[in-house]
Amino acid sequence: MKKAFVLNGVTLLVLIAIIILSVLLSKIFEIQMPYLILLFAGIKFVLVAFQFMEVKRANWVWKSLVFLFVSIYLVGAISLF
Amino acid sequence: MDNLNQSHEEGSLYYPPGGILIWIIITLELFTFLGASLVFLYYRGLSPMEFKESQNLLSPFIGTINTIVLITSGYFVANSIQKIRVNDTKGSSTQILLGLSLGLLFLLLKGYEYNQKIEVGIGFEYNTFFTFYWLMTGFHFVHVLFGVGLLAYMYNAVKHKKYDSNNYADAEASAVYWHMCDLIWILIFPILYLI
Repeated sequence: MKKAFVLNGVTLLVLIAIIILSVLLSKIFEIQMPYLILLFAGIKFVLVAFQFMEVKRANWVWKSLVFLFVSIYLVGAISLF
Repeated sequence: MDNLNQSHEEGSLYYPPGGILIWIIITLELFTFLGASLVFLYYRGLSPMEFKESQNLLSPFIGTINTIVLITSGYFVANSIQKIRVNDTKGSSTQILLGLSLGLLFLLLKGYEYNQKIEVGIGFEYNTFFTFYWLMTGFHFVHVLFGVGLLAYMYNAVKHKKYDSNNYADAEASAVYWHMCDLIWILIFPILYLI
């Protein structure tokens, strides 16, 4: 159980770092990198799904569904942007 | 599958964490918000200046704080499930209470943001950007509101020792629903506030 808590804690720190980095890039430094910000969103999605929702313990079909979903989001968003 | 109150069977196609029924709902919900996000980006491409100017009317600070609040709430809820697995009901209820409090904080901040917009006359029909803003964040708000109710029920049940390490499927399903609220926000936050 201790390992799960440590992993959850590390995941939270990584998620917060990615959120802050996305906002800094977009609003403070005003760097026009929408693709990078969308990629960060995809990484956050996978981290929450696999660690907090424990998709990592689910059947490969559910794991694949998460990656399929993120791929559709990223490809769709980048092609429409 | 012999006992539906058992926690999920690791690696089972039919019993992912929280059970297959909640996952069917989650899949449908996520694809609905995915569709809305892509339609939003399509309209953004038609009038990029209008969308950029409208985006500048949103507060990235409130949006960022709300994102961190919701993600941290999900962290506490994930920990609560770990605690139930070792029959630590007191620890679990504390974690749920922390998650629930942050969920309420999210709703309060969102309510404050909504109030700011309404006060300056930015409503549903202000322009296309804000029609999407109200629809997407509004539906998400309703999901979080329902999730807070689920967490309150879960807190009460855990506190009264209705769950233990062999019987926590309902709690796990509620936690998975709460994480879905995180996932939806992760999808809509960057496209509404950042890019």
